[in-house]
Amino acid sequence: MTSSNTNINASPTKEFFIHMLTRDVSLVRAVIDLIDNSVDGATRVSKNAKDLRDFYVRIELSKQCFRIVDNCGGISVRTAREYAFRFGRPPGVKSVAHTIGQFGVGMKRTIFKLGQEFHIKSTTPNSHFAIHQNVLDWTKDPSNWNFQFSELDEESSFEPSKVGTTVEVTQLHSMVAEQFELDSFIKRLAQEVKSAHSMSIERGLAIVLNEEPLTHMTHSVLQSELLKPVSYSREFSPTGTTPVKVKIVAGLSGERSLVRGGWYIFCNGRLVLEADQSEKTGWEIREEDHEDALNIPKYHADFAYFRGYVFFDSDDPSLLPWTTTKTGVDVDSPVFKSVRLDMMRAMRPILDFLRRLAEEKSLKERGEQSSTPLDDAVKTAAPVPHQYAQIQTTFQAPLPTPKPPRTTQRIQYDAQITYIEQVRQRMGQGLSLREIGEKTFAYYIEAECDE
Amino acid sequence: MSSSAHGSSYTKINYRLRPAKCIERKMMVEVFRHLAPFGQLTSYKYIGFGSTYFSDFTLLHRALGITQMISIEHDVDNADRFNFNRPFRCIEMKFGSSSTVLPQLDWTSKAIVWLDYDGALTQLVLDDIRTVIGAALSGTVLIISVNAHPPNRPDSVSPDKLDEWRLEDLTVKVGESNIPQGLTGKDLRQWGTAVVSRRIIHTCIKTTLHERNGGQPPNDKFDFCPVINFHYADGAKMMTFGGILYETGQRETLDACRFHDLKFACRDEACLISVPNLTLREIRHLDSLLPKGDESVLLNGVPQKDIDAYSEFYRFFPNFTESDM
Repeated sequence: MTSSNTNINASPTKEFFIHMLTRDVSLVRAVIDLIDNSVDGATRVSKNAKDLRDFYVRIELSKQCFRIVDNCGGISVRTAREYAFRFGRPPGVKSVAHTIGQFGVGMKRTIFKLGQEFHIKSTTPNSHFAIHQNVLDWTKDPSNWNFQFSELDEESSFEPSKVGTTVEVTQLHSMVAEQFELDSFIKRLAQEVKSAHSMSIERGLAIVLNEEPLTHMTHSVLQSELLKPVSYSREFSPTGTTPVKVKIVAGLSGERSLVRGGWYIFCNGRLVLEADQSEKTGWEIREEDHEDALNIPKYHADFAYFRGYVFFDSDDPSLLPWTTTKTGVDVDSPVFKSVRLDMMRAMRPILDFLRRLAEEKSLKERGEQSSTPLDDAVKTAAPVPHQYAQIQTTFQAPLPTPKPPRTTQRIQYDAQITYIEQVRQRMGQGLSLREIGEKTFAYYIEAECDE
Repeated sequence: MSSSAHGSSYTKINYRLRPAKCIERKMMVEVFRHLAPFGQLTSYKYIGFGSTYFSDFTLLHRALGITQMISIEHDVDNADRFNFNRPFRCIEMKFGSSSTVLPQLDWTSKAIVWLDYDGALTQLVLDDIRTVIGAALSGTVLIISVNAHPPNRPDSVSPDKLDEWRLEDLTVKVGESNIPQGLTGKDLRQWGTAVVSRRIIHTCIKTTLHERNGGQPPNDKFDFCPVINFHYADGAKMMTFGGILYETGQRETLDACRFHDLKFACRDEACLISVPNLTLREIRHLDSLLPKGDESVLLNGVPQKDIDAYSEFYRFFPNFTESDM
C-alpha cells in the first residue's frame, strides 16, 4: 500500500442536506414556522404576554417573492452569528420563558424550501445586520458552510420604531410560486395561521396576510342559571421546579357544527389539537359505532354541540404535552395522561345531556311530549368567552321531563287479504285497516275478557 | 332580462321561452367551431345534461355534426321517457347523478363537456369539475353553468343581516375551504354572486391542475385557458364559465384556435347577454342597418340600450314566430 491519503470522504453534501431538510415539511408548515418565530419574538419582548397590541407580523406571498416583516424585537447580531443559522440547536441556548419556538431548524428550512435567494434584515435596540445570500452560489463551495453578513452594526443604538425583522425570499421554486398564486393555498394557510395563533391574535397581535388582517377564532361556551359549563384549574409540578398550569373549560357551544365539536388543546396559547373526537381525548369508540360504516353514527351528530378546551401553560415549554412539531398532542406526556382523566370526567355528564337533548327532540317530533325543558335551557343560555366562564367543577343542566308510564303498546301484523275482505263485509266497507284491527281486538276483549 | 325601465307588459318577454339561453347556445357553437386546430369536431365527444328537451344536443349535432353524444340524467326512475325523447340515435343516455357517472366515463378521447346545473354552485359541482379536469385530455372543453342569483333570506333573518347570511349560505354550499380569503357578503350582491362563483370555479380548476401536474415534465403539464364568461338572466341571474384544457406543449395549437377573434370570448369581464324586446318590424329594420358602420343606429321609441344590445347579439337572436289561430 503506497497511497499516503488514508482519508475517506464521509462528509455531507450541501445538496443532500437541503433535500433532507426540506422534504418532510409542507409549504404551509414552512411558512407558519416563520410566523412562529415572530410570535415568539413578540411574546419575549412584550412586558405582558397577555397584551400583544403593539406588535404586527405582515406576510406577503406572490409568484416573485415571499416576504415576512415584523416588529417583534429583532434578532441580535450575536444570536444571528452563533445560533439562529446553525443547523441544529447548540447546547447552552437558554429557553425563553413562555415561548413557542425552539429555533433549531425553522428559519433555514423555510428559506431553502421557498427559493434560491434570500435577504434578511434585522434590527434590535442595539444592533443591526443584513444577510444577502444566493443558495446556488453557497452550494457551490463544499467546504464553507458559513453565511456572510453584508451589513453589520453592533455599536449604534436604534429607535424602537426601527426594531424588527424582515425575511425575503426571491427566485422562488416553481412549485412554490404556483401555489402562492392559488386562492386555495392562501385560504388554507390563513385558516391554519388563524387556528394556531388564535390566542395571540386575541391578545392583540396583528397578523396580516397579503394585506388582509387575520381574525381570531372565538372559543365560547353557553352559560346561564340553568346551564353551567365546567371551568376549573389545576397545577402540576413534574420536575419539582417549574409548574405546569392547566385550565379546563367544557360545555355546549351556541353553534351546532359537526366539524367543530370536540376537544381543543392549547399549549402556551398555541392550538395544537382542534375539534378532536378521538380516543386521544377520551372519546370511546364503541362496537355499535362501527356497525354501519357508511353512515356517521347517530351519536356523533348529537355531540356536535360539545366543546371542550384545555389550556396548558408553562414557563418551560419542554414540560408541555405537545409533539416536537408543535402540531399535535404527545399522548405519552404524564401531565396529559392525568389531565385526560379530568377531561373524560368533565365530558361524561355533557354527553349524557346531549343524548337526552336529542331524545327530547325526537319525542317532541313524534308528538309524545310537548314540553322541551332541555332545549329551552339551551336556547336561553348565552355564549360566554372561555376565560369568563364561572368556576364550576361539574356540568350542571336541567333534568328532562320525566316520562309518564306507558299505558299502550303497538300491535302490528299481516293478515290474508281474503279474510280482511270478509271482515270488511261484516263490519262496514268504509273502515281503514287500522280501524279493522282496533275493532277486531275490541270485539275479543268484550267477548272473552272479564273486565 | 329586458333592459327597459318602464316595466309595461310589452317590454317583458315571456321568460319561459328563455331567449337568453337560446342566444348563449348559439354563441357557444360559434366558440366550438374554433376548436378545429385540436382536431376535427366530429372526433369530439359531447357530454351534457340533456333533460327531456335535449336542446343543446340537437343544436350541436345539427350545427357541428358531433355524433358521440352522452346525456347524463339523474332521474333514474323514468329511463323510458328519456330514451323516447332522444332526438337522434347517436345520443346515449347514462342514468345516475353526475358525481356517479362522470368518473365512469371514458376520458381517453377529447370531449366538449357542458355541465348545465339547475341550482347554485355547491361542493358537488366542484367535485365534478375535479373529476373532469383531473382526467381529461388536452383539447377538452369544460363549461359550467350555475344559478347565480343572490339568494333571498329566510324570514327568520333580519334585513340588516342579509349580507352576513348570504356569506354563510355560500359557505355551507361550497365548504369553508373554497371561500376566497377576505370575501364579504357585500361581494355577493347583484352580479357579485356570479363573479364569485366564477372565481371559486376557476380556483378549483387551477388547484386540480396543480395537483395533476405534480411531477410532470414541463411540456406535459396541463393548463386551462378561460374562453367563456357569460352572465344572463331569463328570470334568475345565471352564469356560465368555460374554457379549454391544454398541454403546455400544445400552446401553438391553442393560439391557432384564435378564440380572441370572437368579440365575446376570452374576456376577463363577463359578457352580459341581454335580450331586448323588439317587434318583428323593428328587428327587420335594425337588421338592415347591421353590421354597424360608423353611423349610429337609431330607431324611434326604442331605448338606445336595447338597440345596442340587439346590435351586439343580432346574429344569435332567436327567431320567434307568432301565429294567429
